[in-house]
Amino acid sequence: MLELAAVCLLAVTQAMSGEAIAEKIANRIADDERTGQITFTLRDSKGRERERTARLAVRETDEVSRMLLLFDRPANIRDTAFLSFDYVAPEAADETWLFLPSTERVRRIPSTDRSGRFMATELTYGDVKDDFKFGLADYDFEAGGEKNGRLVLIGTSKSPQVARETGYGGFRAEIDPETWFPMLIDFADPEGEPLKTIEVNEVQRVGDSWTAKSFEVVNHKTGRSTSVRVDDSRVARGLSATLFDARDLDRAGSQLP
Amino acid sequence: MKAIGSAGMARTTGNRTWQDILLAAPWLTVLISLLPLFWFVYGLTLVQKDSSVDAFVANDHPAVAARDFARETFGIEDPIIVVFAEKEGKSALNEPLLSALRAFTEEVQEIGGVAPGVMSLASKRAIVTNDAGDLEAPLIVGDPIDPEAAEQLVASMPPFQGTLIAHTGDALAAIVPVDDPNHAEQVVSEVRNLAQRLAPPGVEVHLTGVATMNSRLAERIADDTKVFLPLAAVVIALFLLWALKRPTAIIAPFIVVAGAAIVAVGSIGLMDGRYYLITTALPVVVMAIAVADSIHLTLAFQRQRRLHPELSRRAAMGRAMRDVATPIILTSVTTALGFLGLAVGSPMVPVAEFGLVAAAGTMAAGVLSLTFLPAVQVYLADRKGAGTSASWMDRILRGLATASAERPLLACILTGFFLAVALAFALQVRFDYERDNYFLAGDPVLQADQILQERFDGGNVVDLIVDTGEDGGLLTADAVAKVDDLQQRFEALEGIRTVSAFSEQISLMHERLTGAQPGSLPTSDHAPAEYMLLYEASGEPEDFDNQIDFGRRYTRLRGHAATGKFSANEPLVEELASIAADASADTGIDVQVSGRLAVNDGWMKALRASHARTIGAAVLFVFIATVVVLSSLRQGLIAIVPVMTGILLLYAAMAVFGIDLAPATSMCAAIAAGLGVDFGIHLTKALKAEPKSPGQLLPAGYDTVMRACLFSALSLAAGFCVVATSGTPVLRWFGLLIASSAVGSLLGALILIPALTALYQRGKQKAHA
Repeated sequence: MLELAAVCLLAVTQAMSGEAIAEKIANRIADDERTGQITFTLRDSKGRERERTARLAVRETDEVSRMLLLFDRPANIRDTAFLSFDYVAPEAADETWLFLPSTERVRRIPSTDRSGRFMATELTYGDVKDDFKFGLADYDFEAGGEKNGRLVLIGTSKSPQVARETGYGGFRAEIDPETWFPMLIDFADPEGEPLKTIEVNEVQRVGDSWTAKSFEVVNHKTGRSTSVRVDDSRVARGLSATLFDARDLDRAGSQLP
Repeated sequence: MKAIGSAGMARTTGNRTWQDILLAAPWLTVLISLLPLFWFVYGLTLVQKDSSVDAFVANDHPAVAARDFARETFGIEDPIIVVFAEKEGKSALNEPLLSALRAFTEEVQEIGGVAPGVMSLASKRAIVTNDAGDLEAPLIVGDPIDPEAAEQLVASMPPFQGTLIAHTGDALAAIVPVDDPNHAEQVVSEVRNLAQRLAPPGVEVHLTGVATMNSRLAERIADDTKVFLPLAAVVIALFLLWALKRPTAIIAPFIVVAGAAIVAVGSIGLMDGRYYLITTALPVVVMAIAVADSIHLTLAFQRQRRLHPELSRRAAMGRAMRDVATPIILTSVTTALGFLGLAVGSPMVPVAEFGLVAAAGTMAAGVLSLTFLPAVQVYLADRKGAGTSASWMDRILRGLATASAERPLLACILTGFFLAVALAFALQVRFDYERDNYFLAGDPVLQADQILQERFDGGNVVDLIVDTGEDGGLLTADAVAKVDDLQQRFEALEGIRTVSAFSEQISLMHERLTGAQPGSLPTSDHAPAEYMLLYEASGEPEDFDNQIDFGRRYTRLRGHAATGKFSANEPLVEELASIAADASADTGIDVQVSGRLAVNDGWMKALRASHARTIGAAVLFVFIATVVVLSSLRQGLIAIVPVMTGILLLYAAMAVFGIDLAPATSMCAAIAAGLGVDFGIHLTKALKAEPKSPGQLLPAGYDTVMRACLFSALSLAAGFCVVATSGTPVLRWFGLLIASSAVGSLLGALILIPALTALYQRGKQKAHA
């Protein structure tokens, strides 16, 4: 029965336009508050690895998405806290802070453009902000049919300026029609050359929303890659407001379990 | 050797000697003798070039291992360095040049063979702190670029002074890492074209760095190869024509020398060797050696035709072969053994391979001279009826030899005095190496290197590689303090201009984040890791890749020395090794010496340690073979005398012309040993073999052998003078030195062999009396 349902769903969704698919993805439910533990495994082109683990707290509203990373490992960055405010309104500049325990100071990090690398990973700040969605104002969309039971969505940057801002000239994504989650995204650079691939290995449902539990980003230009894994994800309503207050970042460690 | 030498000459098949068999069906002999050459022609197609200077150092040398590790870990070993030079005194931080540098830094990454991590002011960031919260900021920003802002930021970053911008402020450098610095000709060419296309008017573009130098040497090899072979062919043709008198007589010798060269070079491909810088001289060396056998055999044939006009051509050639076959085999074997001495004694792969393939070429020349050559010369070199009167040359040679034989003591004393003077000079020769010596004054790559040396910190780098023992171990206050201490001790060494270290960057971050005193270091143990995390949050984590590894376990301290000269840097490298050893023992972190100067130091020390052994092995091989083939210790000792005079003159020439013992020049003496013994063997054999006429001190055929030796020596000297036309000074010296040794060996043979033989005979007569 389930298989039959899936086939029927695919048949229905295959008739959708690219724009319609992109909207479905953009309107995917995102839970307002959640916590978890996130592990970044960074690899260089020779396969050497570096791992960082942090406690994660996310609070999303219609206006802003707040994310706190409280690093636990390696030991020499324990209690270092990273806080970001990503505003939905395009005219609002995103904000980022870092608390360094050794200096006992909170540093405001200048707003980085969307194509800038996120914390030495192969993700960009734009990737983190978009959270597996595609900016409707950034791309022209086209449905690319079906592959392996997934819908294929092709996006092309609306202009060279957008391509420069995002760092992407376009993409080709395979979308799970049940969760509206992109399971595989191949990004091209502004010149149209293959740039990087994000492959989602596992998704999980947290509250009402689907999130990536494990995914891999491979940069084809540099050979570097990053694996990301989120464990112990849970809905965590009622998180203290001070947890997402830059002035209180030095106390975040005691507030986040 | 005796079995080959004497018994072989008498060996018959029925009533026919092996010479008769070879000459009975000359065209079959020609076919069979030339057939194996096709295998070596195939070998030619397999030859691969390796123009790197590092080819001389053993791969398992610790300095090479450390250098390879550094290349793998930090990525900018042996790069192409591009210098954009304004007129002296004019600031390079102007809008057109900064725009060009930015465009170059971006576009050069697209060139195939360029490795990631191009460094220039356009790729680097300043560590700053400002109201916006930045910890880093690109040095070149804006469109159009604001040169004043760039100037302020560059001034705030001392680590870039002397590396990416000239101390004088009038030139900028871009450091372009390449995938394979030993085979970067195409990459260097494309990088040069790009830089020249982007450079604003009035800005000079210069390329240097090890990859550029290797590429330049490869160009030189190609240029030399184009010149050497035709020029050597012309010179050899002229000498053959002079010696053999008939134009048709030089055809077969030409094929012999070409065949020997093909065997030598083809052997490189067949044994999966490489065509190194010094291999450029190989074809000419082998050709010059091969021509001697042809001259000896052909002159002997012409002499038989002159003395015995009643004999048929084949019979005359048979006799000629009987006369010279033994010396040709003996000299081929001894010369080959001299080359094998290089293969056995030298720890340097290019030198050892040179010895091996030159030995193969020498033996091929001997074989072709006794098979192919007589089968053809019997038709093409005949000079029946030519005059029998002695030429002026013969008269001079006979006069010299007779005078030596008549007054042997005087000849020995005079020659001994001359050799003592030569020895006094030879003892002044020293081991030294300087990279600049590989290029002629005025060479573009040398000019670029000079600019780098004068306006920047220079390209003579020596490194310390620090291993903290665990990933992340570098990002502690304690480790940074240890690195800082190492940097200070490194910088205090005499001959070191500047040292760059990762601790400088941490110090800058500490100063700009906390307002600490310039140059101070964080004391909180986790501070370096946190600073780096902060930097990575806004900047590119790869900004420090040339100083720290991905795992944050290793770091490299890079020192720039005032000179690249081995003799000047030897104590420096030793002191640095001592600092590294002390640091390892005292602090628990492992410290190794690496970098270009350490690699050079490693292979120069290996050369110095092995040089006497290499030359000794070559001379010993030659001596033992000579004693065995001449079946006499006394004759062996006499025959080896020209070897010693040749070698002595060679070292004396090195001292007179100020030539250092370096990889290429170090092999000259071993080659000279193999060449010099030829004259000794031919003349000693001639003195022993032919009965003297009454009242004559020297045998009748001695003139012909002396003449053949003279032509051989002159053709050798001329052949090596061809090498001396090289565009690379090292090869020039190589040619000059071997030519000197050929002349020294000839003079020693012509004067001392008759004198020593006469002295021996007088002693023997006294003993009998």
